[in-house]
Amino acid sequence: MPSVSESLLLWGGLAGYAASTAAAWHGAVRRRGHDRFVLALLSAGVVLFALCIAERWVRVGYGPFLTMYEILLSNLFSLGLIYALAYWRVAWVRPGSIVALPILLVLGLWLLRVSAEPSQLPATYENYWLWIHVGLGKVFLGSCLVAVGLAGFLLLGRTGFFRDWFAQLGDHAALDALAWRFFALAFVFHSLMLIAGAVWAQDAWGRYWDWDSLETWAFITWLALGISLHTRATYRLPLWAGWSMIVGSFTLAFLTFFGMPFLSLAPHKGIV
Amino acid sequence: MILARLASLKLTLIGMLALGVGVFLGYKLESAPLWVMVVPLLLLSVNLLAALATNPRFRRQSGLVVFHYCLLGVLLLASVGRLTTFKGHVEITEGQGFEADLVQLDQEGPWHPRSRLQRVRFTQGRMRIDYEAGLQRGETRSEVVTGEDPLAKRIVRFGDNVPLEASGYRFYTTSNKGYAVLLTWIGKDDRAVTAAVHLDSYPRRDWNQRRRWSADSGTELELELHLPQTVPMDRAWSLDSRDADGALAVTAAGGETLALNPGDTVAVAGGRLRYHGLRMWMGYEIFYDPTLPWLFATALVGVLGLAWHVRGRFFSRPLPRTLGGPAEPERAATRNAVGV
Repeated sequence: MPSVSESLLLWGGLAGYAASTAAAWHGAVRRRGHDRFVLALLSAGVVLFALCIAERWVRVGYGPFLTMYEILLSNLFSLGLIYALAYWRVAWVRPGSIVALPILLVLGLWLLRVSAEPSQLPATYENYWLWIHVGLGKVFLGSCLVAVGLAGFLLLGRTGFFRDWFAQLGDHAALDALAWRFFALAFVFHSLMLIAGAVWAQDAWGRYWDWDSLETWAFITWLALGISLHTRATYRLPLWAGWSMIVGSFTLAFLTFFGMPFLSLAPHKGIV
Repeated sequence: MILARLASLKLTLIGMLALGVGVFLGYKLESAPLWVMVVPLLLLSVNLLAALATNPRFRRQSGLVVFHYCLLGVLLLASVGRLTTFKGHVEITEGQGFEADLVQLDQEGPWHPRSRLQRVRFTQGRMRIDYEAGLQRGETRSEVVTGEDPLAKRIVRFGDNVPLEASGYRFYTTSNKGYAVLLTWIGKDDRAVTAAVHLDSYPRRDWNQRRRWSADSGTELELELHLPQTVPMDRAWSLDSRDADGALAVTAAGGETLALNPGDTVAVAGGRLRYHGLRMWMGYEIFYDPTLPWLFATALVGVLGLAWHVRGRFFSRPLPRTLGGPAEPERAATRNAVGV
């Protein structure tokens, strides 16, 4: 069971994310920007999640690496942080918040449904390459979240949602270009994540690649990103097709990050 | 003409999709043949080499070229690694030197120099494994003494996350370890044979610390270890080879059961048995792949090349203002971001 302070921080963080999502949608519906409000609420959520992780870390004695609860909690923090930074520094990213922020909310609601019971960190996890591997993975997924926010927003525009607001935004070439920039950045960090993971696996289990569930799906995700970038370079695709590939690749990454632990209960648990 | 066709980006996409399907098949079907992955990889390699030979526009993008050369390098090194690899396992008792002949082979590539394993020299020292309550395994530490020259001897400590490296081989501690009873059998001809008899894995199979042992003269003995303590389940504890202690019950076929403490000698059918004491053994997995550092370096250089390309291709250009229209500086575009 989480402690009272952990629960309070967790609910506070979720409230921050929910409020920032509501503010983003309100801004979209009313055709008014609530940028500062969205950013402030999102940042407050990030800070509360950081405190929540720190409190739990001190209490259970290990970082948020092991259980589904810990993986969701750490990703709520890291994805929120990366998205908040992008939202703050790159104004073009902001329209995508109506898609990206609800994804964070989904993670938050999911978090409330899983057991918060701590586990024991296996000795193989006491390795600084694990930190590097996990850190790179979080930058990958964060970059992907920014890209999917923009791509999802653009797809929504094509389907007729918020037609007036989309018309007000004018042409969307910059949003399209930015989505692909973050997607390409995600590909770089995914590649680095695979390398760091291989070094960790070699140290921990005596093999750098063994095609376990998580490794296989991580490779398939990497391939999906590569195929998407190659397809865009090869064909003059309709814009919606490119955005759909970004959404598809993110979905695959999401299932790999959060779906595979359903099969093995913890990342790489079969070979801990 | 043929090269140009082989260099097609469409072929690249086909190869990548085929590789994805191959990986998926390999994951879902245990019986999936190796070619489902090898053929797409070969196709992609040929496609890439053809593109490098025929596509000057591709060659001008130095970061991208470095990335793709490195992908080829990773593929090549991984293949060489498969040909030269060695995987095996061995159990070594405290105080015992490593013997290559005792290694059980798991996998060996055709280019692995078998004699190389004979070069490995070390003697097993102390080992200690920590457990949390509920028999949750914590840290595993092992010590070995390397070097044959007494002046050059040194103690190497290793364990989880840090393998022992010897003559290019990596020795990984495993969860498989246990007790070994150190015995000397003295036959009627006064010939003495000393052996370390490994018992079942401990504490995983603490209930089965017994085994049948065939002495040198063919006498069958039933050995059973009696430890002074049981495995604590309700608290943290450590399994330490320095604390190894226990009595041995020996039963010869049709005879009575004799209890031995360390240092005891008893007469049993066909000879005498001396129980020197209890030791621990550690199970190691052995891994050899000389390509590892090159693989790491090649992959890293490749991704750095990719990062360089992405920076130039995606991040050093201003964002376009309109679809297909002229670009304008990113700062202005950001300032004009509508509604935000």
